[in-house]
Amino acid sequence: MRMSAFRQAIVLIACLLVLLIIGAVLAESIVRRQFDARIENELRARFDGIARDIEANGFSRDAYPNTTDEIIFFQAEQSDAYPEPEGLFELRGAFDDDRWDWQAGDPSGLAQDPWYFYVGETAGSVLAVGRNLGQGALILAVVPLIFFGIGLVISVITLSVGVAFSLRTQRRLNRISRALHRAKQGHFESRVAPPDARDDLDDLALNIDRTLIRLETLFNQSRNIAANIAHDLKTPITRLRLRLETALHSDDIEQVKDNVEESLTQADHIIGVFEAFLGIAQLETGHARKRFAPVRLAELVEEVAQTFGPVVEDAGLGFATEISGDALVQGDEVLLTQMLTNLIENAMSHTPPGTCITLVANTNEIGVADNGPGIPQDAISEVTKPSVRLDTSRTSHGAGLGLALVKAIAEVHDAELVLSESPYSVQRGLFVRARFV
Amino acid sequence: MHVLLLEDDADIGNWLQDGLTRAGHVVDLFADGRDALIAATDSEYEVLILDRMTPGLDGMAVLRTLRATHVETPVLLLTALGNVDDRVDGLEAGADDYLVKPFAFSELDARVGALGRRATRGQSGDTSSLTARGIHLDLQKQQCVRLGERVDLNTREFRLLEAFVRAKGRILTRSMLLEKVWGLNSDPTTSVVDTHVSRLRAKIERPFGDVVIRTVRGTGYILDP
Repeated sequence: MRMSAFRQAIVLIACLLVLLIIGAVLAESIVRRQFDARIENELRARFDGIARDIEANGFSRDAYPNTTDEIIFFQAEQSDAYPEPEGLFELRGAFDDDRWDWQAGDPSGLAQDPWYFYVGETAGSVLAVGRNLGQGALILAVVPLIFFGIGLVISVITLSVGVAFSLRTQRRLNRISRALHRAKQGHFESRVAPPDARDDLDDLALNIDRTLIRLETLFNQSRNIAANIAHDLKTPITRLRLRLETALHSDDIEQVKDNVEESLTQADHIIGVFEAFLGIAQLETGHARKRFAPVRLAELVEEVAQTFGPVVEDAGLGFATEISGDALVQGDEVLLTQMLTNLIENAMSHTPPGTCITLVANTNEIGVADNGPGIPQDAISEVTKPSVRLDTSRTSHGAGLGLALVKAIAEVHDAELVLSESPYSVQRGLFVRARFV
Repeated sequence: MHVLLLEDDADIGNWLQDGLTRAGHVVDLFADGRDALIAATDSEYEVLILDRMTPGLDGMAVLRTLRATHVETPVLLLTALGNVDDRVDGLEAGADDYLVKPFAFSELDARVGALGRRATRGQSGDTSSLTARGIHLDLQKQQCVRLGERVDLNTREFRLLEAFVRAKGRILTRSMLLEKVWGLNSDPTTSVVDTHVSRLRAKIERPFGDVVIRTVRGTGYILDP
């Protein structure tokens, strides 16, 4: 059922009423017992006083006149007829008679105020001391009424407050429910939290909002990834097809071989794109961290320089290293090497001939600087935003993908990807590095 | 060589079997891990090629069982595209080499050849020097002499040449060289291997006016014996 909050209010009120009824019954019986005990004590004391007086002086009606508050019966001749030895009786009536016919039952009289009688034997006769309870007895009757009244008032108040609250809660729950329903259909734009969180339901709403935002980001990202994969693969697949088609229609065996070889190159490129995407996806799981070991940044950069320096120089570019400091970080040597490799390849493919590429290691950074044309300031800030997954297709052939991988590797090392103008050249240049914390 | 091939995909299996047969090997193809395990423990193979994911018993399980029962036949593990952890797991389980699908057949062929060699060379033991084509490598002093003349090589060039001399007569692919000499598992798009090989050749060929290391089109390099 939908109105769970409302039902909760009703159930709570029902429970409250049951408790009130039990309370009323208990209170009534407790009050009655206390009342009886008190009356009994009083009557007993009075009885004992009169009994001593009778034993000493004999009974005198003048000493104990019957009034509207107190009645005394003393009947020597009927002592054998008295049914019980001693005790308390409750009777209703007007006792104007002087005598109590025990065998006939109650003393005659009109039904009126309730009376309590303490009856017992004294001086061989029956003595009965009665007290008119009058208004006092009404209290007993009023106790359940009071409870009933309180119960009614509480019920009305709690019911109306409860209904108001539960309707409000219900509205909030319905809003959350609607938002989740929309999310199920792929719309993540609903937000359910009020601006100021007051209770646990608001906290829940806040968490749902956070989840929705995260889902929205991931959803958009995966959509982007799909688009990026498609974009990055379109060109090599088209080229592959073209080459194969040319080979199919060619009679010259050398031309066929050339085209098939170029097809293989394109196929390798396609595999490379897939590998890069899979690599990024895998890095984002953070599993790489379990292979982390201490890495000396200076040694790592020296190693990479030895491997790639000749490559850069053969490509007609300048190559230099700027190694300082002796930083030791927890990391994966293979991944960090790959990061530097990608940065070098990026620099090689985006700078004009004659540019100098500098491999850098300092106290807490490793990276690559060049003295090429650099990139616009807004592109720099866009790249370094933490939530931004780099648009892998923005730059030419594979380079964007390379930078996305660099960012993923930096992130798995809890390093920050920092881009700036190059401090190692007079031109603007670009300096991309991972800054370890 | 007698090669066991465990591959459940019929197309790939047949393609590899054909290719390896044409390359001069005798190939037994299995599609089920259990059959392959029984065969591998029963008969004498020189190289086992195991696909990681196969029905019945997967390649990793076959590999672990073999190593647990002290069958030390060289194993080349084949796996689907790119997972670094898979690679580490495979090598830790006792694989001698690891190849990620899709791969070029020449790559597989070269690696199978290297594995077969490794098995036989293991018996002769390592030496402190290597010789081929007038090249003499002193592994302890890290010195290279060719035809009586001292050739100065840096550490990397020495390791590269050592790899060629050890594999003389066999093709070394670019990725094999990247693994052996640079410890790199991923393929950089730039021509790291080509650059360094060409520099090495400049030192060991040019002064002597001959060709020692030959380029094998689309595959890699070979040092002719």
